[in-house]
Amino acid sequence: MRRAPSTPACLLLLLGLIASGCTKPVHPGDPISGLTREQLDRFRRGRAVFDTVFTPERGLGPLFNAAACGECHENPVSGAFGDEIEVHATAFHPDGNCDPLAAEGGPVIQQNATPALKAALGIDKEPSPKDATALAHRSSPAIFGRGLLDAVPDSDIVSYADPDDRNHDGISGRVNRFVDGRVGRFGRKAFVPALDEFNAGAFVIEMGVTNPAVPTEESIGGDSIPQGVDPTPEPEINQEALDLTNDFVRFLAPPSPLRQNGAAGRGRRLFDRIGCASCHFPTLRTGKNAVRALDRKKFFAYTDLLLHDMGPDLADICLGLATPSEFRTEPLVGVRLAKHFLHDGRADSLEQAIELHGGEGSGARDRFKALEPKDRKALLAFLKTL
Amino acid sequence: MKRIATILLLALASTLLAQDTQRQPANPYVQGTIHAIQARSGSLDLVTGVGMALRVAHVTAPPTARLAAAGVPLSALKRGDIVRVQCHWSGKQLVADRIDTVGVR
Repeated sequence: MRRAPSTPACLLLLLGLIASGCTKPVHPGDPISGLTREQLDRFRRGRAVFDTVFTPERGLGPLFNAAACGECHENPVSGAFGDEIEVHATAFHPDGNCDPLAAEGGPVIQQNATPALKAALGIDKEPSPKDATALAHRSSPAIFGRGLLDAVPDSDIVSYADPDDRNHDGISGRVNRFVDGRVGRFGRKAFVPALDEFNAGAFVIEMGVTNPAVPTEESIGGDSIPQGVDPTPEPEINQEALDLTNDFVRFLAPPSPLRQNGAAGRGRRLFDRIGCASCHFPTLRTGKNAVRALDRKKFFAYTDLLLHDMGPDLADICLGLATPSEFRTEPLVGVRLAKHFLHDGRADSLEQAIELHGGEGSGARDRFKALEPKDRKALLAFLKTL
Repeated sequence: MKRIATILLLALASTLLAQDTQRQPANPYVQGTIHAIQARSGSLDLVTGVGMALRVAHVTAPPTARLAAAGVPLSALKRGDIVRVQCHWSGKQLVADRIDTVGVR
């Protein structure tokens, strides 16, 4: 039998914990703190589904971008960044309406085809929709802290919006809406309202893996799949596999910021002073949640989950209410691990990414460019702690 | 519970849209953005879906159908409007029983 520690030993342990700040840093890939044993188990089993490599026999395709969630969200850990670049397309009409081209295979243009589809149609990717008015490239983001973002009440997001810029600060964020009218928050255009829906849709559009929430395959540019090309019966994964994946993503923590001493500490204050924090809200708060670890938690987010006009140079596709030049404020949590920046990975450094901000971001960009070199370095040092 | 209910309804809507649907639940509804509308022939195409997996649902609306709350004819609707359509199955076709606009734009 193990002997219980003596009272002085307990006191020493307690003092040690107090001295160390009582909090263990959260590393990239860790779960959020406060999960139950059962939730931790589901997080680990969900990661296994997330990293499962699908084959055509197990449901992959017939069109797909990748064979595993973890193929695009992988570096340096499952759920982090990837090198893959996707192609998206929509049609923006002169009356302001955005057509996501659902009748022509949807806005995500899959870049790979299974051998059976190649043999049947002679194609090795989905053809571009004929009615598209624009194509866009999309990099693979890290998905740290998405469960916390999912738990922010819609009413909070709506309250941050200032579509008519009534406070005259040059920032006029607005809410995007899904096709059924609900408040959007996920994706580079804040189009998708909920994390589990984003994941269920991603299984199909990214891997061609149908599931109970999305039991039908993507069409091939609007045409149906030739017979015999996709013999795996639908749904190709069951509810448990989908739920486990959702739990992995939902419980994946935002990594703790690194120490912000010296220059990085000054950079944090500059981040507020020059207006970056007007859109990249440092913290958000979750609402009431059945999961205790997600219930009314303040967390580092560095986003307001709103759309902002980023100017004509970054403009690509529309989606929902988002015009081609509007993008959701990118959450900066974990940005220290990124190698490429902005929605399409066009920037090779944080400095370049800031300099490419236009539209509502141009004020902060100009103030950044006007900083003394040592202050610019300080601000970049701060960002590299996130 | 609300989230679970939403997911179940979305899953139901997706199931309804499956071309090879075997089961046809009673009193389904579809909520989405109007992609195309032909009021004279009573043809309504809605964009719906789950996440980025978007689908087009075709609903037949009787030419006499009017918007439930407003009482105006279908011709008042246009592409881009968001509607909720309560339906029933007639063979393999969804037929609108009640159409409401969702006022979020």
